[in-house]
Amino acid sequence: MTSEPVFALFACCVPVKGARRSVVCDLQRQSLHFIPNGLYEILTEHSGKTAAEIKEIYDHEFDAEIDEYFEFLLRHELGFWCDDPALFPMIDLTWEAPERITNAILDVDERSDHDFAKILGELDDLGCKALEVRCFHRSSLAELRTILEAARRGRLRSIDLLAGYAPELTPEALAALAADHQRLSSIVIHSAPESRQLPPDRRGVAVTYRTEAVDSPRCCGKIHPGYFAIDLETFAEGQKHNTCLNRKLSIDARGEIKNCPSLAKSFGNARHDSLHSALAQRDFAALWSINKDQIAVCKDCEFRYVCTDCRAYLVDPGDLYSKPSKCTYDPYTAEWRQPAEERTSAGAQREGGSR
Amino acid sequence: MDEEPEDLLERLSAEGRQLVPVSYRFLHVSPLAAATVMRLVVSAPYRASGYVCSAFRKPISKCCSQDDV
Repeated sequence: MTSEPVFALFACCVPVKGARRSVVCDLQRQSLHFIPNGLYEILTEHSGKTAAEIKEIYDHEFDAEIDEYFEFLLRHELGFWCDDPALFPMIDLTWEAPERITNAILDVDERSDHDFAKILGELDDLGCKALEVRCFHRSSLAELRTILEAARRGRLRSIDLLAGYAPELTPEALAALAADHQRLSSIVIHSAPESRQLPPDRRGVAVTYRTEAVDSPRCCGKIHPGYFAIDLETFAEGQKHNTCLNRKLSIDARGEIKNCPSLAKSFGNARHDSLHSALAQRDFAALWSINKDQIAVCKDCEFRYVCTDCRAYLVDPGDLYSKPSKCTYDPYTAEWRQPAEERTSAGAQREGGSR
Repeated sequence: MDEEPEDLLERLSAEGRQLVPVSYRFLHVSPLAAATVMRLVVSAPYRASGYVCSAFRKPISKCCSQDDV
């Protein structure tokens, strides 16, 4: 026991250092708080020391700033003063999952000839709990119902649906679809005449209409704060695994079984190969272990454990460990580039670049 | 608990009321109920996948731009 109280972060509030600034990830409330790297140093290197001891370490040059830092942490409920910090150990960030596959992508276009029952049944065998169905074409309600009907049984917990706009996909029709298929957790309609966000229903299912066209896998791989996942599961997974590809299985519009539809490597075709046999191939899990601490630039980014990576579209397509090309954030300046620059750099990309 | 549940609901926005039922049944007996429910509502935009408890937390694919809506 110390005579003076020391400051401890709540176990769910984890600091992450970036090149220019740091963040405290509140994994319980799913929020980020930016902090200067000086405060990161206090919270990590000088953890367990009293305020007086910390001020002494900095020769009382930053006493006012240190007081302000602790006030900030208290105000945002990120930590607390305590007498014995040993009673509040850090959270265990070991990640394990019982499912062989946790999430899957199923791509559909106007030429697709999927056996939805077979695919959904095999995903169920693998323990898959989350599925995203991406319909790149103008989708009919009947087609969406056919896909969802194949997922009516089984252990899937959530289905995210992305579909091309058709006039019959009205808010009322989609609300009825969500009510009929309660595994649906979100519906995004792309290529819509106008952008529109409908309030979530009582289950929290949000329906969003977007004007941008999502007409191929090449639209994927965008990195922005809207895709950050600030939760314990993703944060823990990101310590040792790739936050996009780990335990993921994808079936592209032609039925090819892949890690990601944007990657070129196929492990078989779902029409005549089982998903199990694809998963059993040695290379299938090769990309699963590329974590953000191994990726150039990303390893210096404060968002690295909440960002869901992309290994398909890379700054250097020949380097598996290069930064996602569709990320416009520069951790060395702590700035997001303008969209115009994003468009310029994206022009150099090619499909299947990471292999 | 010194507030009636009805008072608590009235303090929420229309969107907040949509989010309440999952937590309300057990939260309304807590002395921190009001603060907790309000916090859930305020933090809703920051959650990756809405308020569906069983939903997968992280995005499975990333096809949409941030500023389209």
